[in-house]
Amino acid sequence: MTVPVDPFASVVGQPLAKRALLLLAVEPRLGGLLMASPSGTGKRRLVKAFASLLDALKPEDREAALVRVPLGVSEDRLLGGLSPVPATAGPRWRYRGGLLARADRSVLQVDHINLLPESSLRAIASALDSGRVRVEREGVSTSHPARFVLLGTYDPAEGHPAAIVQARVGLLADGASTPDLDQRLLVLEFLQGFEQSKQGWEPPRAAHEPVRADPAGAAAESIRQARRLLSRVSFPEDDLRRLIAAAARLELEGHRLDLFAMLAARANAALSGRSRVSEDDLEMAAQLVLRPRAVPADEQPHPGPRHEEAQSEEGQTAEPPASDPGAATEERAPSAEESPIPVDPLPGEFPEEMFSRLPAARADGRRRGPRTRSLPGSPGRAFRTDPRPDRRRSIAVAATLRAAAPWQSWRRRRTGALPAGNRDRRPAPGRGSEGRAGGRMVIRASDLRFRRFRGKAGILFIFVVDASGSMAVNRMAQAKGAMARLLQQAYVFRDQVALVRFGGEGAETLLPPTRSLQRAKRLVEALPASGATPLAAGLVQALGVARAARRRGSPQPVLLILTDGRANRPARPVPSGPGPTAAALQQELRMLGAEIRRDDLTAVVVDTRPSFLAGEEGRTLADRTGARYLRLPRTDQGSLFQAVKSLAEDVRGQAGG
Amino acid sequence: MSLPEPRPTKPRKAKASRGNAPSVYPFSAIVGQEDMKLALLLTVLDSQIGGVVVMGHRGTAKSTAVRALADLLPPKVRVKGCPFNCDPERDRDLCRECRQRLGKGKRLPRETFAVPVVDLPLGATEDRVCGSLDIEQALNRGVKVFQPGLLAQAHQGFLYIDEVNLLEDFLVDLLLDAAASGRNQVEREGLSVSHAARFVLVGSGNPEEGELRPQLLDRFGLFVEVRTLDDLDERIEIVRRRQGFEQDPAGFCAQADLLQEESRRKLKAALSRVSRVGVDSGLLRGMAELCLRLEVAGHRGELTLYRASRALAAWRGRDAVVPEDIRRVAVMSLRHRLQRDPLEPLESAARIEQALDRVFPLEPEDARAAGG
Repeated sequence: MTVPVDPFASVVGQPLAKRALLLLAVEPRLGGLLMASPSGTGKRRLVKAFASLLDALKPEDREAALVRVPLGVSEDRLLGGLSPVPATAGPRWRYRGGLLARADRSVLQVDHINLLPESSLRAIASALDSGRVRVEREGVSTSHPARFVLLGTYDPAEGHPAAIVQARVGLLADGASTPDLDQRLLVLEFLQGFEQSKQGWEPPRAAHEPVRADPAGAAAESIRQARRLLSRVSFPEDDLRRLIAAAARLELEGHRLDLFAMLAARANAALSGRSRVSEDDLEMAAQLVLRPRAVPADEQPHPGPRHEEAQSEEGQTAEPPASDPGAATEERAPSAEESPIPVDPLPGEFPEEMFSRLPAARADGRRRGPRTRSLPGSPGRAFRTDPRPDRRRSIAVAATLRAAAPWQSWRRRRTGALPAGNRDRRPAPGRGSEGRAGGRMVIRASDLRFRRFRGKAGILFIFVVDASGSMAVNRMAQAKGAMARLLQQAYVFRDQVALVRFGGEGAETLLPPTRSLQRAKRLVEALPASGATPLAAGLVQALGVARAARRRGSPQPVLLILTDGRANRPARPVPSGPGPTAAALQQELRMLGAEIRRDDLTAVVVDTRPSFLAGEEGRTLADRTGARYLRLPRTDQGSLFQAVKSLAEDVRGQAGG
Repeated sequence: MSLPEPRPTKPRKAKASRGNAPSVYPFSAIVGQEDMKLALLLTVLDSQIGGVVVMGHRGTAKSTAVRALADLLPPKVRVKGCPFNCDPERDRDLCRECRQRLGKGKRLPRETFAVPVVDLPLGATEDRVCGSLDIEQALNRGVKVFQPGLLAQAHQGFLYIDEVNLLEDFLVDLLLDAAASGRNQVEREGLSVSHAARFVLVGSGNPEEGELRPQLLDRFGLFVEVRTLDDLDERIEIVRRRQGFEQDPAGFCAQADLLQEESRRKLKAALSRVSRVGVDSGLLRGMAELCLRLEVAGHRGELTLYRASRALAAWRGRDAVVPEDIRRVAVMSLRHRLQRDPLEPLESAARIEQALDRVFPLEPEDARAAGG
């Protein structure tokens, strides 16, 4: 038996997300759900349907079943703060709870949760941990219950939400793939039906279910039944053991995941009307809780996708103290990954001129194509204001005045009443005794608003590494050594690295953009060399990584293509003919070269073949991509360091200029 | 003048709002750029299409067309004095104050106003876009009053963003949020305000200066490319008309009035017709197939195709969509939604044409109709 009525019938597809929403309605202890699916797949509609389901479920005394957090939310509205209330005898000050408190016992919903500033995500995460929101600001010290479940949606193409949030929600529903014909047709039929009736959404008879007059109400009833059943659901010892073992294999920190998996399995059983957890329930728990976290490398969450700088914690009185055990363990995770573990230098040689010659390349007018990010995202451009200063400590005057404005009459009165201490603020004697501090604005430290700048993002080195069989003879070891040196350098500059490998059948992103040195190092060391050379596939992959990074507004991508240049497998099957033809290969490389030029990507081709063997392939590739061409001869370690530094500085300067 | 007057109650005002804007270049006098004009018309006929983005050369009448189209539209109705341009017909969209007034049993006073066209300049800051605390009121009276921003001004009208491709990501996020939900929710500086913000988003820009984020691109219903016209006669005609307009706007508009009236009539007829237009199931299947063939992600492709071809059928005075309608709007509905494949030799438009030929092959009589 399943839920008799699908409250989400108006959304085609997305079975996992739908199921996850129902589980969340049955078992709020699952913490929340993050829905990742591309735009235009019905996320918003799902949320809407969920809201009406909750409306049907909520006790009468509850006000809002779903509290929405807009992207531009400020901290005082999220957490709560003082707020003037107009009254006849002048403004009165009253504390007003924020959105987190308002969401108590209901759902906190965030669209585009991956774009929310990290500080807001932290506030949400700590409330998820403790079930309370603590406010320590503007002289207010209070705390409220905030036992909400989090419902976040986002488009994974724009990055994933920060790990601190991912770790605190039980359910992750990965989105739909490209819809098939029937799904598309169904969507159109829905729309047509809707347009023609203009009455409301009447699903045109879903094949397996009778249409009910009140889907939300009927679904609400089944949720109530499931909730009643939930406490009686038994979990056989063996099954529990299997589930926890599966969770343990993921090697994630903490035990929260075990708990989430267990809760999900039980909720699924209850929702299906079973009083005993079955195989199906374990499978559902694995799909929604465990498997999304065991994702391949290029799906790994990037911490703080768009809001690059990890903001300094000091002065954030609004945050709960780090004594919270849950928060402490989680906080350890990223910092452990980023600790400055030195990379053992592998045997390596790197051409000295590889990087020292790059500045010239940029200076002699080779810039071309669209300047994708240089105008809108040029670093150093203020894009919003924030109560917390960044390194520049640049005060945003208008925002500061705006923050101070409502307090003025109150502060003047207080300032006027103070005989000493503020005397320097009172200009001419005789004025201001009426509570006016000389008619000046009284500005407190808490009013200060600072400009936030974007774009100090550093560089993303995308290693595009030829791992074909021919590389085994063409000095794979040296290439590895060179990469290890670069990785070490990248740590110093807080640069990011990504690793794309091509060889054999195709290409893959072994490592998405990350600052995690250790993982990069491990992967580089383990890089095998075998099979054919699908160079074009490697470039396609690298282009994708570079574009995704640019879209997130994060670092300047730099392609480092390490290859012996002998492409022998096209990225796409050649339509006719027995095997890969040279013409098809060349055609592909030409097109990719044009794309790389058009994107104005800085690229370096490192030819790994010994000079006595080197042909023209490497140089041709460099010409096509507008890249520097370098051989990998011997070099000494000191000049390598200098070379890398100068490359980094050049690209940084270019991004800043 | 034989104006088809919509409301006998307010004929004077409606006429006045048209009459007192002679400085707007008439829509019907714009030479060429048929795709752009059509796309704008379609979004007006079905606002759920969700806006137009026009990419291409500068000086190709992009912003002129938006303003001219707004001028062509019948005036809108709002609650008198409401800073949020509340539509009194839509109870659910009323702002807090209007709702309170209504709750007290009062009738909401109405006024008509010309369809607003709000420009969003590149350097705009968040507080001006979304609205923020009114500093003056706060300083003088110590009260918190929300000062509506550009999103409120654009309610029931157009939000025009030139150089949309250069817009700050942060603003883009806010716009996406508002455009998708039809509401602007402000939670800042102690304010908690939410108001309706339904507008037709029109963006323009030059692709050579930067690309649009795919997520923003996908939000726009239609995408058209404009080019500088090649035809010498047309270019001369543009210069001549422009000159004529600048020398004597009122005279020029009077000259164009006949055409304008025709357009207004046609637009009005289409507006009342569009909700009746149906699409037969074979064509629905064709739309789905087209999107499948082109591997459009999500469902927005077919949904836009549906709405746009319906609007076009209504504009052409029909009650049913024919394949020619779909063919006409397919490229502008889909070209910005195709996956970018660096190894694909064909341009998006050409790929769409190719798929169209398969799914909606040109019948001989269609070909004649398209030609004529």
